[in-house]
Amino acid sequence: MLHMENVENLGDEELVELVCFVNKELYTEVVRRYQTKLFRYANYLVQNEAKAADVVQEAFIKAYINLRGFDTKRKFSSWIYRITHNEALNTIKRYKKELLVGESWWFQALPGKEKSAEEDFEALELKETLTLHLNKLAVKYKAPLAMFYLEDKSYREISHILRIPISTVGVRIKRGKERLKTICQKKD
Amino acid sequence: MPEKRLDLTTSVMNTIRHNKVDMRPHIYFVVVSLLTGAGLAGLVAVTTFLASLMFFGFRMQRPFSYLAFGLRGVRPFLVTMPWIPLGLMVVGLVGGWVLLRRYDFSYQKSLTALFLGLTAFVLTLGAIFQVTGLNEKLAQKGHLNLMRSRISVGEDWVAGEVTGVGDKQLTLVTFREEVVSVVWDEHTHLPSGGDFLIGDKVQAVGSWEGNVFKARGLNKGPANYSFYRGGDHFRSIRRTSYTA
Repeated sequence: MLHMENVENLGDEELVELVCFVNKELYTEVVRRYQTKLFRYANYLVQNEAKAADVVQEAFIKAYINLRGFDTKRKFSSWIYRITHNEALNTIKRYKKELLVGESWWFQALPGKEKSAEEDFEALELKETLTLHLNKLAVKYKAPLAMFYLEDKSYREISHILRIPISTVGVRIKRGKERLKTICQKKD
Repeated sequence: MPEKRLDLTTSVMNTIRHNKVDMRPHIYFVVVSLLTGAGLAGLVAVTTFLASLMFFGFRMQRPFSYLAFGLRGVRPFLVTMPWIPLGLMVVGLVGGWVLLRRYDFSYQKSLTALFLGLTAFVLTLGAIFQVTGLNEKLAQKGHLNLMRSRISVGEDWVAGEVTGVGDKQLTLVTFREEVVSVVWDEHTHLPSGGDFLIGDKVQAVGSWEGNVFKARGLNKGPANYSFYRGGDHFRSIRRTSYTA
């Protein structure tokens, strides 16, 4: 019998194996682990809380249906982010007009890595800039920027999630920042 | 402002339980993966075959050579281009590229590089089949009727093998075994010169005057140019018809 404490200590991939072959109810733990992160990421893209919640719910259901197709030698987080990303893109296409105006209160108090005070300040400044202007960028730039600066994902992880070469991730982040800069300058 | 917390555990698990959403069995993913692999392999094989047919069309009909006649050569060029294998090959390449994109390794490469790589692979393999004469060998065994698809006589053009040479006059046998008389004069455009020999493969543009073709342009293939690479089958048919 598995205790909740033991489950909490398991890695994502081990947990997925247990969900697939031992107890489906353990999927609750998968949802618990990822719901906040995925909701935040979906909201970066769709800029609408209600729609972002729908996106994440749908992503969890799709992930559950295809869970036995997931290769546990790979990273689960990339896989679930990928599903959420696709779902968010579908939602953006479906509700294009409705999603033009977005809310961005949830950009505040985002988790960050431990950094020096100066780095912290720069990171915070960048996060704030992103917070203010992210919705003005195309999804092509918005997704890698949000993942890199706001979700602390590495280039490799972003490459796996967006299914683009690592070099393209770098290019999109660079161009996204340049566009962001232009937007800020126009505002000033 | 604090980060908003969201609890989807109940709603997700309720949807799974009450809507009886179930995981797809592992075998489903194995079958999909096998079908994708088989589809890709089949598509590449068919596309390669189409590429070899296209090269065969280029060699048999030499559509680009008509362009040496300028505007007069455009129509025979358009008629003799192997459009069907070319079009189907492009469709096959796009299909193969779409299937390739489903594989995990594919996104590490640029999409353009993937498409160009697949195209280069198919064209190289198709060219190898063509050089080895696979098409003709298959045709000999009755699996293909390549000769029937060749067009060698049009409203203002004709192509074939020289079987008789006279004074500014040639006798040609076309791919479809039709015997055609071609005449030319000092105004005829002769990109390869006016020295024709029996066995030369020639292309002419001009007009028909009764059963005689009056050439405004006349060109022959390279000296070592050969229609056939698959054996003597077609040659023997042609020789028989010349004698007759």
